[in-house]
Amino acid sequence: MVGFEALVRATILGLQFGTTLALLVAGLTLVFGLMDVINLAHGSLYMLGAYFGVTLVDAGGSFWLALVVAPVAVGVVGLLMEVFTLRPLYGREPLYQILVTLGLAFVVEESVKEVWGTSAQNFAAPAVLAGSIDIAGVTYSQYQAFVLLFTTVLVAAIWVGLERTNVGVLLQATAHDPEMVDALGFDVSRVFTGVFAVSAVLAGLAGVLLGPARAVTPSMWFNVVLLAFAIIVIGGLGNFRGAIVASLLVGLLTGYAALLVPSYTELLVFALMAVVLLVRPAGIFGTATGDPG
Amino acid sequence: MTVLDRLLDRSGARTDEVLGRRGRVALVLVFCGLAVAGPVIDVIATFWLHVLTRVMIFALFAISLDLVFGYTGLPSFGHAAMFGVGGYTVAFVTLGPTQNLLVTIATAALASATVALLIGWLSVRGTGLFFAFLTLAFAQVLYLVAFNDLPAQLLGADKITGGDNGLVGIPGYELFGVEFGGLFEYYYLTLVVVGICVALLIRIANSEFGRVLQGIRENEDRLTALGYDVTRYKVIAFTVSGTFTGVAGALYAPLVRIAHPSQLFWLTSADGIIMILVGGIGTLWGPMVGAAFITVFEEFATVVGNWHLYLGVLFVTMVIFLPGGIAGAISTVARSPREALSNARRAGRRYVRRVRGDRH
Amino acid sequence: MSAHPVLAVEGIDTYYGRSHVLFDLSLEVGAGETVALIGNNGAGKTTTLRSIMGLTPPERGRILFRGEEIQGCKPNEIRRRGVSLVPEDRRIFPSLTVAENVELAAAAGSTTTDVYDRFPVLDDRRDQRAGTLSGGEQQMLAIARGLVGPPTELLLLDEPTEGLAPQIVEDVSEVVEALTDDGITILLVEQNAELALELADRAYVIETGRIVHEAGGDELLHDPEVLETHLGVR
Repeated sequence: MVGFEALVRATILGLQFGTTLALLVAGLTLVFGLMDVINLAHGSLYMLGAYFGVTLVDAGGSFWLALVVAPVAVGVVGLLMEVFTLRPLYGREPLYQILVTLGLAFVVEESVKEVWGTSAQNFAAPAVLAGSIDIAGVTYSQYQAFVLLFTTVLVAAIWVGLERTNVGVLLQATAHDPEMVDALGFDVSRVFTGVFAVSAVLAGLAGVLLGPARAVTPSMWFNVVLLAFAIIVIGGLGNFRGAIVASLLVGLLTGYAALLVPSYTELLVFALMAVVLLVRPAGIFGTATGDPG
Repeated sequence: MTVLDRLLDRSGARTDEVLGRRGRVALVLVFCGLAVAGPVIDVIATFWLHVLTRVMIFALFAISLDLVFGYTGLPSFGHAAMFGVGGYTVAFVTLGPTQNLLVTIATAALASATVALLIGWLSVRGTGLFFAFLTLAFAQVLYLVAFNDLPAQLLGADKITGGDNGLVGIPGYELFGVEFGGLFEYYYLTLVVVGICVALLIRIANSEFGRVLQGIRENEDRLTALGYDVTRYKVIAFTVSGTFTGVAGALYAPLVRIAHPSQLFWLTSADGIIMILVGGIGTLWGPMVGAAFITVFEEFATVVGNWHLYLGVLFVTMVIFLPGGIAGAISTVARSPREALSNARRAGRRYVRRVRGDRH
Repeated sequence: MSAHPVLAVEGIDTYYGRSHVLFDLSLEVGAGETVALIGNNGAGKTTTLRSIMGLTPPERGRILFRGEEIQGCKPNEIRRRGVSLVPEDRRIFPSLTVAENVELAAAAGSTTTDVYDRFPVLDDRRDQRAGTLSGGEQQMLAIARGLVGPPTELLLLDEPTEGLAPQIVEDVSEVVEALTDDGITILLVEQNAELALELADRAYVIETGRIVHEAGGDELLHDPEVLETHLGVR
């Protein structure tokens, strides 16, 4: 029988995983909404965040330094990816964009193997947060609590940024009609590059944050990118709010599954996705007419 | 008039036939060449017999994948599912009731057809390229099932898929008292089975049904307006393609003597995609050339180091600069070498322009 | 016409993919002029405007804006130089409010013309989603959006009265006349030839991607041959 305390802890773990996934999903949704690109290399950017983080911490830098520097470095990688491999493909059949991101994911995985080897890296959580805290008789890891808090604030900030700021308005307009936005005097190719870079930074952040909690290996990108896209399908394509809620849902599902049926966590997510596809093909929060293309 | 003719307002000669007379003659020549060369290769370089057998198996995998990917325009990123199911089915049958070739291959084909039907039926619900992601996800489900040996856990059995060890010691096939245990015999068995399957696939591609598939790629809406149930055709195409992919998997597992979760893993799907892109998406013959190229490339590149890295770089470069693959390059050069050269120059200039942010 | 026209299109050839749409097309628009481009559906009117705006750049020929070549520039550069397009079908951002549509366009430059004075109908609807406006209101919004942001010297108007009720068509023509009075140079594409010729100082007639006629507006309006052969008007 699973105790109350374990259940509460699984909830926190699930929420923390969910909000971190939301960081990944936010970037994916933005890139998909604006450029119509299904970026399979998004998981690779997440993985690079974790590896850059490990390297910085091992080199004697603090975790906090890594939390700032690694995502920026990933942002630069994302920027180079967009400029040199995606820019030449806009306007071509969208198939080639997903193919190129598949190729990039491949190249990043193999490059990581070359640089860091194939064995798992040990990413230590910062000493300050190594302890635990007690709330209402339940013990939590301080680090997990920090990640939950940090990512929640960040996701909320992204949401407000998209809904309430001028940049948000520009992005909404670009998602709807990039050509027109260009004709109004905005350099849309720079908007695309900027959005891709920011989405890479968010992925890198998620990588640093989840690094200490999960195995840092050259193949870690794959399950994450599958989970992230499954969340988008569950939440409804191009629906930001749906994506966030679905992230939390999948995070919780993962948390409880890890407690009850550990080897089936991913299978449960895909099963949920299949059910959503059968019952509501447009996603739980999608509208029937919601065509993102 | 065929569907495509009606669709594109064409009439008269069917110039759009895939693998026309010359192509088919070339294929027959390759087939005969492989048949004649067998004993010679067996004597001077047995190792290449293994490589060529793999080339043929992956050629079948690639052409089957291309039938949906390029020909119908349904980018499947999950064909490893059917490839692996073919292999596992062979393991179940030959390690169990019978080694009879016909029974085993037929069972494998049926099993992969069923899986393809299910995956196709679910995945066509995905908008646009989300189809690609969905096939990828559902193939991963099968990988996880095999890797964790879910059936054994559910049924309380000791082992069914063998988990991450896979199922080892697959015996060869047998037909009318003849054992196909040795590599030499297996080479010929593969040649015959792949030959039959490729011939069937080309017939399907050039049939009325094949025209509809091509029509789906060219103009789905128009086909819907003409009264075709496009979704149904897509699912059938996916199933047909998956069936032949399963046969490829059924030939592969006995060759390597193991049915392993890696055959269901996304990398196997990616291998197929790389083969058809490098060879030439949608041409059916290009992907077979691509399969040969990649398989042989692997043999040489393994010596130099991380061949997957080179392969990835090659793939990305080709997607950007040569999306038509080897087949596209060959047909442009054959048409006009000078034009090919000026095309290449223009592609280079265009790349620089696009990287600078020009959208034209 | 002055020696330095605001816009000079010199022998452009434009393609959509492989299909050749504009053939050696030339035209000029002088400062303060309103010039109409008329012709049948598919003649290449919209493509001409798209070529000028850099949305479908020509393969050959030159486009001079105030004497400087702009044919290789990106649309956003051309906009910042002072050319503004009010496109066919308006292409406002339906999920954004009226105010957001206007503010977005204004953010690309410094002009803070109070467009709501010119378009009082928009003033009442600032917080309404643009997609819920009527056709005429949407057209007003599209024109308003074309006037804010970088200073507009040349306005490219593509079918501003398409699909509008007669009363609204009149409102739009009044707006166009007011713009002319304010010294904005206009290149107007219109299906409604009579209206176009009434508004314009001069007009070009375009047929299958070529300019086949050029004359003063009144002249064309009273030339029965032009009306019949080029415009299908009785």
